[in-house]
Amino acid sequence: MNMDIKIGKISGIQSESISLSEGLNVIQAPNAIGKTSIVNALKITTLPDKELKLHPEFLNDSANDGFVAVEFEKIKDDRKIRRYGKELAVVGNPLFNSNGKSELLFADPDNEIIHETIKGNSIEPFIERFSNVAEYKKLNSEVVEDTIDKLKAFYDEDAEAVSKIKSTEKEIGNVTAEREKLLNERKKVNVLYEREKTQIKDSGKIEILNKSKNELLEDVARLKQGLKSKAKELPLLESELKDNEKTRTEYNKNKSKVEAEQEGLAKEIGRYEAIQEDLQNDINKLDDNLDILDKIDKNTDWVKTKNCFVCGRPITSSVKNAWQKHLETERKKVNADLLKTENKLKEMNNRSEDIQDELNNINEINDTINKTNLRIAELESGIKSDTKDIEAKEKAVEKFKEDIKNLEKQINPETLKILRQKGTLDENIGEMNGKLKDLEENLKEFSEQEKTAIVLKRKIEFMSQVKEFIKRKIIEMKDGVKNKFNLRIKEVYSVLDFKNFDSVSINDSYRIEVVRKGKQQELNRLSTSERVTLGVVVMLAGKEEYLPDFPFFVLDEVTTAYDPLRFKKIIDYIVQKTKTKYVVVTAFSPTGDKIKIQRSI
Amino acid sequence: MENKKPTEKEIPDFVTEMISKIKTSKLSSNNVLDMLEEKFK
Repeated sequence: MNMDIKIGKISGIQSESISLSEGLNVIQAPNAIGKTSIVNALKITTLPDKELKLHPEFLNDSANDGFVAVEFEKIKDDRKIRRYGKELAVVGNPLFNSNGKSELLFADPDNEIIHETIKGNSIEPFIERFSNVAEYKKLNSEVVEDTIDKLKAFYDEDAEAVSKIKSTEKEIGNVTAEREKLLNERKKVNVLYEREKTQIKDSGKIEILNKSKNELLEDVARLKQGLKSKAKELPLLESELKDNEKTRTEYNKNKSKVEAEQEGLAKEIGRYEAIQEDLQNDINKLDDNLDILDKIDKNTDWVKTKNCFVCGRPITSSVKNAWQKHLETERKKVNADLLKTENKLKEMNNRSEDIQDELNNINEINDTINKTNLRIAELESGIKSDTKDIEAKEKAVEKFKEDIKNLEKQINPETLKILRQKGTLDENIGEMNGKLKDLEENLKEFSEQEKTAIVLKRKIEFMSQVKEFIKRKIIEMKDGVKNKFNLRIKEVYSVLDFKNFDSVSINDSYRIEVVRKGKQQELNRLSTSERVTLGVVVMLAGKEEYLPDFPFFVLDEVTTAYDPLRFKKIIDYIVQKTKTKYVVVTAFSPTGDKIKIQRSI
Repeated sequence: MENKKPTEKEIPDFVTEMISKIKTSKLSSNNVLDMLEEKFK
């Protein structure tokens, strides 16, 4: 069966019809007649939209649109390209589905596998495209690592509190021990005091004054301990504020530009959504019309006659079929435009989300700055009021001390000594109590943060395991592709029976490796023709593995010219041993002004 | 209340969920933080 191809305004061709026969098709012509244009036309039937649109050179210089139409087995369809800025707009889906593996079909100088093999480079990027590696890589680099960073930043804040737990507990231990010591001493002094108490005139008054003074001192000690923590926190917050303000200044430089882009995008999105709606309505209308034609065919109840409901004339089956074909073609066109619009919308929405993320970052930084400012103000006002409070309380303490001193004047020196000892001990114990109160409050707060830190640590551990898992998965997937290729390379190479190498394979660094006379050899030690041949062998192995039923394989004259004898063998192999129906080879002809297709080289 | 610690066996499912989100729409680290919140409840 032949494959008929019509080409309109593609590369150097204005209009051309060719028919490929099963087996070998040698496209012969002198240079600049259109051999490469035919290869480009075949690429138009195959490349996915996102690749095809990057080839404006596929369109004839003088044209704004071109097409390739194919009649082959069940396919009777075309694919159009239009000039669209510096790129192409593509109408219609690929006529042949290569599942994104078109690199396996066109052995020409643009082929990436051949290109990298000539240079002796790794074909890792190509191997990656044959599995879902891109998604996994994106996941790790853009999402997982970012998540781990965020979690670590949260954890650092809480971990700092956790690190303070131990030092606070230690301080509580020290203060408690000191207080115990003082309490024991006071017990002893109290025995002496109780014995001397009857000798002291106004002992009750002195006791009350001392109690009030000590209560005030306890409070002063608590406030002073609190002031210490506040004084430590303040410079940290100020440095954090400085950093965030610097980041905000950087962001603000671009803010108006980013906002303008977002505004423009919103308008464009609205415009495209309206286009999308219109196209969807058009499809619905076309579907309704196709439905009517279908009902006419089945002669359902509501269509009583087979006359056209617009003009009243009888609808013959040829008229009906022509209409149906016209509507179906229109539907395909509109659907292609709809897909293009949807892709454009998706692209714009993604960009808009990115911009929104940037704008959200600015808002987030503003929030953080406001919160830090609030906390600084809170701390500063706390420090001010605590200092004032301490001053007032210390003044009151001095007044109590004065009153006690006056009352103590009548007491004999021995008794006064005991009384003073007791007073100092009471003061110190009060100070310890104050310190303890503040430390225990801090400990409670730190313990709360410790609970959060534990959860965060687990999340970080989990995400780190996820990252490692993804890394392993990527290697696994790439090795899977590599192993499949190697099995096929072995098979293809043994059938080709080239004998110049003992073996050919893709090694662990995804470079092509050969063994010659028992010795492993690097690609740069081989001749260019050997490297080109190896590149094509890898392509063929890939085609056999991934696209065995794909109908054609193309070999460009530049590729085959390197080693005509070996390529003759390769062509025979494809024609005789594989399921590839059409082998297209371009070949230079010194004479003639038209393209000829021959059945042999 | 003790937080549940996910096991290593759960990682492939978690990754599959992330991959499917990457395919259908954009997956950001904020989405992952939400997924983790759910997982560690």
